[in-house]
Amino acid sequence: MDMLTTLAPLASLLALSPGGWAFMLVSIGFVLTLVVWCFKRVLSDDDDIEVPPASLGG
Amino acid sequence: MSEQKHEWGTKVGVILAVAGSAVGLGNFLRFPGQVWQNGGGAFMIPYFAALLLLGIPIGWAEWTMGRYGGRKGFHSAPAIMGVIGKGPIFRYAGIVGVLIPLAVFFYYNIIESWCLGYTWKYFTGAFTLGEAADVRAQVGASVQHFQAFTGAEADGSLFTGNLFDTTTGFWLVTLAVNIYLLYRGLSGGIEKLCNYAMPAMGIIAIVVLVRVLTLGTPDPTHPDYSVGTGLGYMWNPDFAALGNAKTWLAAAGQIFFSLSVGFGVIINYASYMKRKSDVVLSGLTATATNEYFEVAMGGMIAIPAAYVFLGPMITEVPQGTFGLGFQTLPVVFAQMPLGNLFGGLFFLMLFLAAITSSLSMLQPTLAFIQEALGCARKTAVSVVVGVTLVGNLFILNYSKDAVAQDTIDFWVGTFMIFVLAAFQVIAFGWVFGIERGWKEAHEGARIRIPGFYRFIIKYVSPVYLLTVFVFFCKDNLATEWTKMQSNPAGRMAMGLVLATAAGLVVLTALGARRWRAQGLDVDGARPPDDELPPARTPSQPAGRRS
Repeated sequence: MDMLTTLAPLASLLALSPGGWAFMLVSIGFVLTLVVWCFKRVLSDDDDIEVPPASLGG
Repeated sequence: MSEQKHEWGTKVGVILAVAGSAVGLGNFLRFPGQVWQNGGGAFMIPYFAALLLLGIPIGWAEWTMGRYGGRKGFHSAPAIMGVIGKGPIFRYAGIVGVLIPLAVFFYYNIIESWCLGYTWKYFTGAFTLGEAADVRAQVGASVQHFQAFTGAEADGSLFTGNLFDTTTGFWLVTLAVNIYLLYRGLSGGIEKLCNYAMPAMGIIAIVVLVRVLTLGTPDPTHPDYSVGTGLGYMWNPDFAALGNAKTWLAAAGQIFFSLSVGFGVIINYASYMKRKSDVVLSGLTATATNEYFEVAMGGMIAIPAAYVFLGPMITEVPQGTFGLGFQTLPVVFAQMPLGNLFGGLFFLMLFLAAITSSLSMLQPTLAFIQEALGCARKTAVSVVVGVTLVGNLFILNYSKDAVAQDTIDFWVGTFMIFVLAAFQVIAFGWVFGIERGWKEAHEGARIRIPGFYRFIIKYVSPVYLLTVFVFFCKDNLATEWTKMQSNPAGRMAMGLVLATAAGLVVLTALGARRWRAQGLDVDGARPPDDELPPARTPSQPAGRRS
């Protein structure tokens, strides 16, 4: 599942640049929007899976 | 096929179970390393391209194939792949879908026990690196602790001394928990755990994230060691990296491994869904949940936190997925106010991520044994426990420098995933047929897949996947083969994998014979029974409907 990686040498000592801010916020915004939209749709629908009797599932 | 019919309890349950399988250590530890190494924020361009062209479409295909196989009465990858791929070639290729989760469990369960061990040691105050010592001394102490704890210094060292001073005692606990939950079944074990563990992991991740983002500039003598520079270190874009093919390959690789497509779990989990259960929205939601933990949490915690306290010294600490987590971050927690609390929370979060993944790894084997031998769940659990005990004890014994573990990680946990995903996407798009697959995916779907994904699934995903695979082999295969052959532990690990694969081949042959004898459609020659017109009874003449 995980592949071992080697981290890169030191890149820079710069603070978060406008480009860095943009990429960080857009990336996080995209995944947050996607996950909220998906769960909103999932939870708004009737559950189409019948709940099995308690004796099942074991 | 088994003595009881197993199904998921709720729609959210199956989504959280698949997401729990996908969210693992790679989200919190591997992803930030990949971003940092491959162009910072610019890495997200190829990353999202791979998500849209590779991860999401292959995921949809796997969900659809799994549910279709379930309608035919099958729950294991070999049987389902045989149905989708219409014959023995894909059936035997499907063995990889059992081999991957089983063999990965051999070592993943051990790593899970590292997480539990670190959690315990932090919460009980047993983890100390000498707070007064300088950072370099703490780095040395952290590395030394990790090596002793994981048995990296010598083979067999984990079976000496106090069991709870090393991995061994915690391994016993994690194995017992895994077996117990597996024995409890889908809705009573896996689903119930994920229903609690996933939200708990989300809450802990937010607590740790808030702590990291409010660290400010803890050392006035180093004003440049701040959260801002930590985030800049990771996210500032380097657009030159986009011209490098390796960046695109790394992004595709990260998406691929992170989502667990081609791992053999989704196809098994989806086989327990009903015909009209949605797979399109469910697949997308599980993917989105994984991405949330990876980008919004993984991208913000480990490296920025490490940078705040270690600054440029971060490069001097042993790195890699496990190096960052188990050797670098303990030094960070040693510097941090309330470090034991946040260290404990962080490793608890990793433990929850790991256990929801490891549990999913045993279910495909369990389903396969039940199906192939026609045995009861209890018997199948006993067989699975026996096999995993052999695998776990092998990894625990050959612990020196983690050679055995790394060998299985590469050849099964990395290389084989490409192989299975390639077979799956070809079986779905070309043998089963994209039009039929499209129709099947939309049975009961809550959302429509955009039409252009027909073209993507049939052409773009296979080409993209095979291109990444060829470059991956070119870069790694020769080196990894030499590495494996040059070490006895590596050769034995490969032997263990091959012996396991041989056992699965025999079981598949036995299973196919048994399924045919039962009149099941082993080669996918006819539609599922629930699509056939209802059979007429003798008292019900043709043309008359009840």
